[in-house]
Amino acid sequence: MKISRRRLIQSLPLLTALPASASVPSVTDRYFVFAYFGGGWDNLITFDPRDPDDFTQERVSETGIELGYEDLEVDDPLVETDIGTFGAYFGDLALHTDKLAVLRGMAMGSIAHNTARRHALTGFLPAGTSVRRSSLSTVLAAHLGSANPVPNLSIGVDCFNIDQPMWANALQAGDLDSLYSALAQGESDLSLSKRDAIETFFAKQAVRATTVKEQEIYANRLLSRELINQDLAQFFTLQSVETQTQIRKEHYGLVEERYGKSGEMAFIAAQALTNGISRCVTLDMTQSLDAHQRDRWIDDHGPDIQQGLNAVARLMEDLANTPYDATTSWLDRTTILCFSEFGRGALRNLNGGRDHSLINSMLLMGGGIRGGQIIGASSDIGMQAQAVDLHSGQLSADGEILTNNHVARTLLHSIGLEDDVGDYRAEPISALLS
Amino acid sequence: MMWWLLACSVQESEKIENIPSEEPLPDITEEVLDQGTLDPSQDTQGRVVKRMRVDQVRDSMEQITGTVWGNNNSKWDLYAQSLGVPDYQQRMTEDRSPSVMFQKFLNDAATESCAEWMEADTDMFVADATSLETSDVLSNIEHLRWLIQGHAKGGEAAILQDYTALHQSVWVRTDSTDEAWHTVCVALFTHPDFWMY
Repeated sequence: MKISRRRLIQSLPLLTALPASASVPSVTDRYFVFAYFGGGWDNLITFDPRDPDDFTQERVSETGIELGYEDLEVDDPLVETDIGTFGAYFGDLALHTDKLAVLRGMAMGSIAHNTARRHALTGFLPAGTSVRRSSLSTVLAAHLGSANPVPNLSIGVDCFNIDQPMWANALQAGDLDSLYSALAQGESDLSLSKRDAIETFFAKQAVRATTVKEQEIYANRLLSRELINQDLAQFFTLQSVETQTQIRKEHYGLVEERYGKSGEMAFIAAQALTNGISRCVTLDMTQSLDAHQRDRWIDDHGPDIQQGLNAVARLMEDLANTPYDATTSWLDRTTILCFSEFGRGALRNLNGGRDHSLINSMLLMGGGIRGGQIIGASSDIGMQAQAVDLHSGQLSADGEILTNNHVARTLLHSIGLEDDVGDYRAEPISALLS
Repeated sequence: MMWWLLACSVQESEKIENIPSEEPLPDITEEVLDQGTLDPSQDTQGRVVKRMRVDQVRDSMEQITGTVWGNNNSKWDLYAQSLGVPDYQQRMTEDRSPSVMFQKFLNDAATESCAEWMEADTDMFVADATSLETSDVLSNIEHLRWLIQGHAKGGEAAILQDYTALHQSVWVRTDSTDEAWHTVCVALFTHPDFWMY
């Protein structure tokens, strides 16, 4: 007896109903990548630098900004691009500034890792660590439809669903190997005839399910079998002989681990999107960036961010070179958001590292995003957040301080959801949208 | 002093006037209350069922089957992050949802562990495992259900018929009682009766 996932889900109205506030997106051919740089990144050496000739050590008490560039092992602490100046670890994103929008001088809601991360992921400040909204990826996946086998994929990052249909739950794996194992048959899986018998047994149990929790259990069980049957695992193994996979293995330097963990993450995103597996992919791009100690900040922090940004640059190139249809590429259809839960302080701490700071930057690129611009700025005294006119992207005393809520609202707006369907209570940053 | 005495006497007289007249007490009757006068509770609310933590599932399965999934290199540890085990950096509390990932890996663990359990032969069965007699099959199912899910033996739960049908179905397809019992074992471990409580 075979019951398809679609049939089962259709028979379970409790699990499929969109919340009452749902509206229909006018843009349905959009995909999303959420590239999370965990631990809090240093904006002064990446996205929001200062001129070391102006912001000298002698003026620290006046500016409240301590660069520390002299301690870094870089030839030049600044990188000049078409759209502005960036820090030494901006990496290969400097090659793609025409497609890149940078938000500077944002204010995060917390400097506690868990709370701030959940704020960034859900677009709404949690109550303590209890999320009050679903992950943005879950909301977007829910509105973009269930046609893809894994509408919402998350690697190494928590994903939340508190009010969206069950099929929008993220398939959460720890890394590439775990993702492969989750999608592949077990090493000693049951034979086909035994599998068929056992599925019949569980189909009977599903029919008897009386609670939403039971329905969820049996639907997830069925989905795990369906994913195996669709042979999706072939896209997530480096042993695959499939041509595109081989090309990507080289492109992302997976054999020699050129970009470390970041290359693997970018590879997963490219495979999941272009093979029609996922709508939204969330990635844990780097090892923890937390750098309270001098050595960690000097030796690892910048290079780790740069490695992650380089992998994102490779992903942009890959998607740009992969046709979506006759006239557009996958990058035209994919919005990439690079973020960290918060920034690091403008002053170095007593250990020579940097502590957490509410002030932060974000990067957006690709489909739906007006590239080639920097929106907002942090102040030159103490790197504080500054208000921005949401329409022009320029600093304005009458504007608003940019937050995660604004970004969440903007991404939903980018697929045509003009109502505040996620209840983010913030206006979209229209200057970001193409 | 006179004024004070006068004031006291006035207050005293007001107090007395304010006392309401006593109502007659009702007559005491000896009524025998029956035990059946109380309605049974209509409250059907209980606690929300929870998924076992990964270490609970792992330990239970290992205790029951005597085998370790992945042998010397436990796969429960290998897939810990995907299974939602806290790493206390990004995740402080365990994801205890009945996720796709959890059920997939549980299925893999059960498939391997049940096979090894059957090879090791222990007290897995109480009746002849090669017998197709309904009573023998049912006895073994009840025993396994007690071992794995902690359900008391006896009773006429509909699910017993489902497990019996599963055994029968696999035997018909494979002509092997070993295969049939292996499949029943996997079903018992992957059924939420084992891992939800």
